[in-house]
Amino acid sequence: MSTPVKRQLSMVMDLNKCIGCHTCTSACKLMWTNRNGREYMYWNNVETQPGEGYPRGYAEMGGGFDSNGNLKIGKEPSAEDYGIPWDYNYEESLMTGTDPWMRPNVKPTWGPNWDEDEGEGEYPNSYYFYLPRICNHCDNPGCLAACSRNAIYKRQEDGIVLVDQERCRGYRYCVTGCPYKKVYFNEKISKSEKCIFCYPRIEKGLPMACAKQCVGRIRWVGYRDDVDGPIHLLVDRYKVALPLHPEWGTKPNVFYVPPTSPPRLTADGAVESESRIPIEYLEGLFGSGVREAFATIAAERQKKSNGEDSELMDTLIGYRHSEMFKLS
Amino acid sequence: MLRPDQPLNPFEKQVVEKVPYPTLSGRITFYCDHDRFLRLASRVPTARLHAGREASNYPLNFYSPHTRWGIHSNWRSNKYMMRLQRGEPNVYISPKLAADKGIEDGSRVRVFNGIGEFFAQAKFYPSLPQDTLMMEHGWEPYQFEQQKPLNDITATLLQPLELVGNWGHLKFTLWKWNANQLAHESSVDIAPA
Repeated sequence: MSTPVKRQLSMVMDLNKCIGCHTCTSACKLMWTNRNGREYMYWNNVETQPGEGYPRGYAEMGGGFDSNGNLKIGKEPSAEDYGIPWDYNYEESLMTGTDPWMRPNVKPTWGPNWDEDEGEGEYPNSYYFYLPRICNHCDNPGCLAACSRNAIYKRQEDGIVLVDQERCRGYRYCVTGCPYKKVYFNEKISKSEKCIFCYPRIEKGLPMACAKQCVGRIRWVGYRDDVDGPIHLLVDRYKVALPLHPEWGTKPNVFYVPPTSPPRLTADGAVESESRIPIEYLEGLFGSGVREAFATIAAERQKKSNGEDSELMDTLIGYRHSEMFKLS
Repeated sequence: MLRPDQPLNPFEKQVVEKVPYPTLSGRITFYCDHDRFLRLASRVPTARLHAGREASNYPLNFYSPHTRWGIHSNWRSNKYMMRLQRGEPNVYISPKLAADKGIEDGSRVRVFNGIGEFFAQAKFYPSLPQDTLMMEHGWEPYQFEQQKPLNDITATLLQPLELVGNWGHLKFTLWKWNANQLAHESSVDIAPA
């Protein structure tokens, strides 16, 4: 069951280019979530995978739809699962000198990026990659289906999923219904809030803050139906960009180019044929299209090595940042 | 030469503008056959791996890459950056080495050698070999317990090669050479604290 819209704004992120710098997270944080009860929220987060993710263990919390299209109500993350933002004794340690050194006001035990860079495996075959996540602005949003107040809606003109703050009564069914755990409950105002795809920027012709600030140029923004745009090229024509957990049934509109990885090494340093990140693991995240996407990328990369043209590689490289956003 | 909406690529000055390096050869110089360099077995850049017994006779290598959370020490104490880390200075350790030493992820550890010590939080990092600790440089001294920074375990001996051919690297040029101290010549040990 999808919610039909006139157009769908979408994003593609190339995980091969993400360096885990969290500039996207910081841009989003300072623009939207550093105040008014949103301090703990990261509408955009970057998590290390394999890993717990943000909130901790979200992939096991349920939500989304079963194979018959019925909504599954999941679990609501605890404050500790998100990480409780800690503060510092700046004044006492740096200004008045009454504390001997700077430290958090509570001993942090978990945070939104706690297991950064851990991943799986052992040196020298350890592996991990960065997965930036925002609201997927799904065709079939679990949050929208879960809301008993009809407070969540999908905009006709661009498919952006929003919480109507006038209608929301803070029941939090949306939090449990979203399998990506990208709707957050604001305790201060007793309403749910989420990534708004930076619609005030979009309406002015600007890309989202996370995409605009991305130093790795991993993000493309455009409309899915624009056959000359980057989304159609990466998702539909070359099929190298895939949704995260398509089996959760929400039909995301954020897509990822899955991460390639170097080969495994034997104990004496010889190169094996297997890639460091197991392909089966990636298929568990991005579905059955991973092998085909890798084959396409390898073939197109070879073209470039041979000195031939490759429309796909030129797009993935992103020579000019401004051309990665097509907002009309 | 900065241009709008185009990156500044490394070596453009040399490759595109054809400006030679201010070295004796005009190129990036790795090989140097000066007498003193030959005598000290440094005809190519060569690690000494020794900063004296007190600093270097310890089992673990210690290296300190750049951080992603600031530029050197700039912004290192910013709460938005710190909330995306462990909230306090952390030292990366292989889980295998940690098991040998009785160290748990997130626990307080003491890193030490004969010249000093500091305390930090252990963070597991399976991508490290078992004989090495890693800690991003640039943590401010005031962020450490007792204000003992990671520099307290770092020593370096004067490098006699710096005196060759008139102080500086062969020839002193303002801004082209500075007497940076090396972190890699010291070694350390680690223990639960």
